[in-house]
Amino acid sequence: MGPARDSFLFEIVYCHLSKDPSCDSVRYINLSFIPVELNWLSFSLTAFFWIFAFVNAALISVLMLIWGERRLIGKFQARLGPNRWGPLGLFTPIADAIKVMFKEDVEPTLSDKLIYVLAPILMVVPVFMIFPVIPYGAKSFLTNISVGVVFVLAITSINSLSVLMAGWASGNRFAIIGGIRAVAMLLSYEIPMGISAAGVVIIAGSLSLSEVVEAQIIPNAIFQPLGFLVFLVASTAELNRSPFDITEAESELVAGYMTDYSSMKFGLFYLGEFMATIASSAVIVTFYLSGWRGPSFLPIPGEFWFFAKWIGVIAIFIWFRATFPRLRIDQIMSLAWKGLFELSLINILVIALTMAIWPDPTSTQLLFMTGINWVVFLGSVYIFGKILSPNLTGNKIDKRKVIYGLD
Amino acid sequence: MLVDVVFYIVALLLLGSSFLVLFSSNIYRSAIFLAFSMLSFASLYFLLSAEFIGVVQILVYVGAVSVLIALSVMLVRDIEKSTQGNRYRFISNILISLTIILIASFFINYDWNLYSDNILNSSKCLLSECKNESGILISSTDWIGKLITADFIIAFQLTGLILLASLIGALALLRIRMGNNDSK
Repeated sequence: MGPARDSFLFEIVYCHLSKDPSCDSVRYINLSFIPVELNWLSFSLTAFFWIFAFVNAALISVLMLIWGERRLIGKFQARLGPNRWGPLGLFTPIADAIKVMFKEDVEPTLSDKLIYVLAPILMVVPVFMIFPVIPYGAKSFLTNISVGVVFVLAITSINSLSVLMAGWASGNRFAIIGGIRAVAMLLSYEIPMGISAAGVVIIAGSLSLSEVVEAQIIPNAIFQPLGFLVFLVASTAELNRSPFDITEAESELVAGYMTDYSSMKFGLFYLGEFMATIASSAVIVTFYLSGWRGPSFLPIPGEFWFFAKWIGVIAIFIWFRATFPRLRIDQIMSLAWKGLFELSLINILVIALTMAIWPDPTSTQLLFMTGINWVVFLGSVYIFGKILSPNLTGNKIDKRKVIYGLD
Repeated sequence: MLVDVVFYIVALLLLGSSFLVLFSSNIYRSAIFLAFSMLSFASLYFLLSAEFIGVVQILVYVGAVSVLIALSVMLVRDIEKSTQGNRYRFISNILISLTIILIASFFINYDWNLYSDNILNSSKCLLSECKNESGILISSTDWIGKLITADFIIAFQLTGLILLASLIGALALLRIRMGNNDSK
């Protein structure tokens, strides 16, 4: 039960605690006090330390995100945003958290109590599991599981179950319609998301997130712009963020699947959504923006590049929310099935073909492949835009074709 | 030691949620607890370091299949009391337990080393990481990919064909129903 494979974060705590001989190369003298026979104790203490650290870091970053999102949207809409409590309104999310915690906890009479309580927990817990597998630096990860790409996609897919449970358990029509709509949307957008992630896997030749980062000599966002576009749009939809926040469209569904949730149960949904935004941004940085890699001539550690790109992607999500108007449910479904699905298939086809022609590309061949990908990207987006735009913007809707439109 | 503790916790969760699937009278709760038992099953795969199978278990069964089951369960007429009352409940419980014991005893007594050919060796590699001829670790994902695209390619294609057929069948049914609405 030695330290996890090459994990610097694990090692630095574990070797402080244990007298494990496998730590000898990085021995931290005078501190290690637990004998080798009690290895399991130091192992679990390390695990508990990192769980504690990651959970708290995630919670604090959610507070930061709430503040940042409000400030930034304020800037976008030419107003001030929160600015009363603390410097630049920095303490506003704390006030928010206190307000949410002390609200009255109302449980609707018609609710299914058990599922009603389980749903918000199932929304939050899986998101915590994404943070440990992401490589924040060359060796700064907690665990490097060999199937990281699929793991991330699988863990993010659990939230559709939670949404359905919440919608059902509330015993409210608005909630159940919101839940079913959300599930239809989440299941459809998982498909283009998974297929465009396959393009990343083909380039890396591995499902491990560390190797995905190491394989990106050119960042995947530049190398395969089509996959990046599809993944970005699909993950915006997966996060229930605007312009895809049809699940909680106040104008037509009250508040969707969380209509009947109050107090900290509502707070957990809120927390889950914001934390999923942060986790998803980290995933996008790893998949498409070459993770911790930066310009190699600068003596700056990889963790810095990772966090800079991370904040950049979060800012893009906030920009989406401030800019785009909300889509109708039939527009959302047709975008998923008529647009993104085909685009992701074209992307994987082109990537697979070019990789079959040049299995081990030199740098000039890489640039040539990038050129091909850009030509395909611009061409296919133009053609699909021409085909889809009357579908998305036209006022005439054939009622029979709108399967999910309930209005 | 630690792995054993984790195993017993996961096994307890798996057994508990499976019992709740069987014995809760509310069919919707059964569907939700089915998802939970799938999730604990996936963590058992992780304990066997069959990471790929575990992850696919989460992706397919928790993320998609159990959601579809929960959606279709909503169409049942009396959700809260739908699994109550059956005259043959006692007899069927006994029969099912006997069947399970029979199958389990078969699996326990079966000599799995009988066919130590290539396929069985590689199926052992599905459950943990194997070394190839030059002693380099190969992850189970590699083995699965090689098995699917080399040894079991026809079975894989046939499975895809069945899925395609069911998809076309569902669309055809939908078309027929919509066509009937039009004629009215």
